Amino acid sequence: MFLGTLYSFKTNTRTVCLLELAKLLDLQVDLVETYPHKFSADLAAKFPLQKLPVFIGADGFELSEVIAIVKYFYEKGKHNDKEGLGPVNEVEEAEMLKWMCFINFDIVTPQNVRPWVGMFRGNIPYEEKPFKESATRAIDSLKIPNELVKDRTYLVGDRFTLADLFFGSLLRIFFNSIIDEKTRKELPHLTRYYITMFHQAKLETYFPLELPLTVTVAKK
Amino acid sequence: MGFSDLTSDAGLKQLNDFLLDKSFIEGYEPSQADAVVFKAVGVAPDTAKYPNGARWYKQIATYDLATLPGTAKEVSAYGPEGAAAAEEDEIDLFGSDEEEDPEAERIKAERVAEYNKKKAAKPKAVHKSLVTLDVKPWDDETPMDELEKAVRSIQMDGLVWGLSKLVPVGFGVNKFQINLVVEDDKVSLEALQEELEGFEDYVQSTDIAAMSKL
Repeated sequence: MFLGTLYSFKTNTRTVCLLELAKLLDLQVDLVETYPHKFSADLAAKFPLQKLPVFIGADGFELSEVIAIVKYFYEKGKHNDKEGLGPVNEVEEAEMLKWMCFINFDIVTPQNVRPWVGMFRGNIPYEEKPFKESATRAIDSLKIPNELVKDRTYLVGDRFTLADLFFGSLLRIFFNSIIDEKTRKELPHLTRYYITMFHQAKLETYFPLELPLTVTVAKK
Repeated sequence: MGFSDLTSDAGLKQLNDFLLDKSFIEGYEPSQADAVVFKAVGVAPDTAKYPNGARWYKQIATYDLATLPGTAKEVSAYGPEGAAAAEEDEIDLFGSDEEEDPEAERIKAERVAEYNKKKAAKPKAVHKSLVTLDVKPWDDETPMDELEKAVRSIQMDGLVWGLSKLVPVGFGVNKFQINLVVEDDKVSLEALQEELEGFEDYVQSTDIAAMSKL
């Protein structure tokens, strides 16, 4: 079933889970390569914030906000859900929403990601003090989810779900960059969780599992 | 070695340590390895004492063990790797006598000198490398066409610029990627990179993305 078009790029932090979800549910979704704040005039008129990802259905339906898109994709494809990705009751549904909102609005936030991610990628010039301060702040915020996943294999219920696909894929932005070997030992439960979900979500289709020994910023 | 008595405190500690960085006994999915160890453990480990073991036990309890994939082995086949392999006698089969034969040394030195003389007489081949260079702009507003002009404006004896393209990096930023051919004896890539980074209005940094001999 051709559902519509996503506007984003393949390795975008909040897009990988949508591409994989579409695949798991046999939904045909096109990806038009788009970058934040670089939308075409037409697209910018529909989505003034110019943030990724955004979706336009084959029927003209316009949707932004990644969690809303996840929900929409799942509702459209749940008859093809062979792996029990969705909730079995309203409690599980609420819990899934809780975990997705938590990682999206409390962990992967501008306050936790800037300015170190720009420096890491080479988009902005490296400065040691702001890099270290912001990276430390990000790692501190990850101590909370590290404890939260200590007593569980999966986030909701006892199988891999939408929540794990979403949560696991959003963690990549930290694990492939500022979480070095020493830091992984300080976050053992979250590391165990990330590695397991990386494999179960089959994310190697989109990017390799990178667990750097040391933090290496883009060379100046 | 593998797992020992999993009903004992020592065994459960071993299991708990093993599962600190793993969700399952083998690989990233439940298998017969988990079924075997689960049966050997028998009852749920104490959460406070063995949190990783307890987390794992709770998860495996949700499966029909008989349906898990893989082939069951003895419980001692699973778990931390044994230290038994390190107990071999150390026999150095390739050690050599320390004795040196001065006559053999003289002959060797003579041959090396002869080889060097022969090699020096040979006309030197021109060695070239094909290099892919990444040039990174400051931000998404850097004029990439002017950056390209600046890059190509560098002329050196032995340097030939080739095809180029923009490669998306993220957040709307592209890096400029260009191929070049250099004669190794004439062009220093370090000097070239320094000169490129001298275009401070456009260039934030450069990287050699790939390099091969022609």
